[in-house]
Amino acid sequence: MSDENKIVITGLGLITSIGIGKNEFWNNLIKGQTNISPVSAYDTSEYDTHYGGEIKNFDYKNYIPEIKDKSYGLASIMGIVAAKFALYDAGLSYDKINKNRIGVIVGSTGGESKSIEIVCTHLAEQNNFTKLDKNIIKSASPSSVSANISSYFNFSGYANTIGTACSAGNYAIINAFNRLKKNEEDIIIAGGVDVFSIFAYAGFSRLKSTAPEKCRPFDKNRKGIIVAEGAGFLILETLEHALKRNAYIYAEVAGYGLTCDAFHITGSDEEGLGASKSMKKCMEMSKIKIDEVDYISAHGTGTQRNDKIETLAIKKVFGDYAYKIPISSIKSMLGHSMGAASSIEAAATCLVLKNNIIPPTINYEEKDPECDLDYVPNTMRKKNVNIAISNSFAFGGNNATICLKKLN
Amino acid sequence: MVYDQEKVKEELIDLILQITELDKDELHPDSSFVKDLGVDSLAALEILAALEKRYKIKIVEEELAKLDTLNSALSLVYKKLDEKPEVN
Repeated sequence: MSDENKIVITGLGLITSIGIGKNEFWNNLIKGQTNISPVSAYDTSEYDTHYGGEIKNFDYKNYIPEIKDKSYGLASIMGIVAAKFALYDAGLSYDKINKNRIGVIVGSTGGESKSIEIVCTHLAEQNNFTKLDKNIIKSASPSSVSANISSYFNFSGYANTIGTACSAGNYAIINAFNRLKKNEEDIIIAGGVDVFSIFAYAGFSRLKSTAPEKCRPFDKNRKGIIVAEGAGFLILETLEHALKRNAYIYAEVAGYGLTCDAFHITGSDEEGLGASKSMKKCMEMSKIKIDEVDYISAHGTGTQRNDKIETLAIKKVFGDYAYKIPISSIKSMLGHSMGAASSIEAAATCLVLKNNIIPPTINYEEKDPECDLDYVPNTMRKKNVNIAISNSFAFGGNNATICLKKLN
Repeated sequence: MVYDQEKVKEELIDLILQITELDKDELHPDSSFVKDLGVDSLAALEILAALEKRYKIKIVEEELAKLDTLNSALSLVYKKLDEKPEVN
């Protein structure tokens, strides 16, 4: 593969429950900081659990004062601000960029879930839709998220919102990778966004998948996920384009693996076949050997099933070498930000490559015989990381693994 | 570090005018670049990036919202320059 065709990441934009902007996010991430706290946006008294990873005390309007159009839903607004951070981080404003050649790809589980909630509440109260606010109708479609980001920046390349649930952020990155390889755009802003919604909260709660207070991935006593919100956007471009504008390069996207378990809508395949195939495909495409992987960013939701099956799948792919690879789940700190999770994890992995520090899996207390790998428990670790893979396994068995590599 | 506030102000105004292509008369100290002056959102980012480059200061994402007017941009640049150690 020629250098010109390499796809690289040159900007990161993050809005998470542990920090706004890449610096605050990273500093808290390596400290093992968490802001999981009792849910404030909704009354959760009727549910079994009451904790979430909300973003508090952040006024998006300060960042986009010019938006007067009320048809922008909250996911679009959060996405625009995160995309703005990423563009700023990439130093793109230095260049005379061609807005016709910039694309926007967004992964989301719920899309404009707040708007959908308003629609549901309206129906319950009015029993019809005749007086439904026009702005809500405009904002309720999932495709409005990528459309609104594109329209805010006036980027008129490809725009798409991908709905493959909790792996949607990685799907967005992969979609961008393929389009850039074919020279369809010069630059793509790819990532994910999901706002805190009672639908997601109630959904996971009804599926008995939420943890009471802490998310403790891979721990023997793990009790489930903590529903969270967030946005993570990455600037992707060809190496040639990045070099031409003298951009800082975080990582090369070396390849990916995509599979579907074809098994069950919410549960992973027991043998971890889909997950292991996703990792194998990714390594084959990236042309990397087992012992070249320095770090795995785990999907690591903190449910009994995911963590056991992910561990099994990693062992299937890496054999004995699996025990030598540091693996961490940053969901232990952030909670599970749904469609944004894997793009935030991709951004975190970029920062791992940049800083040669691996963030910890916090709340780890007791070893589970079925999860016996190195999960970087509780404290960050310094290690030279040249190649990393990042897993995401979603509802529907939608598996997506990406490989990020330090550029030599 | 030691710097001349008036000189920084003049430089900043020049830089903003250059990037935004506004006339000097339009640039009121408390007008929002984007909301009141109709500056493109990317141009607003470009102003920030140019500030970083010109004054060798680091503006983090959380501070982007504080930089929407000439006065707010000036305050932040002064603050950053005050905090900057004098290097010989």
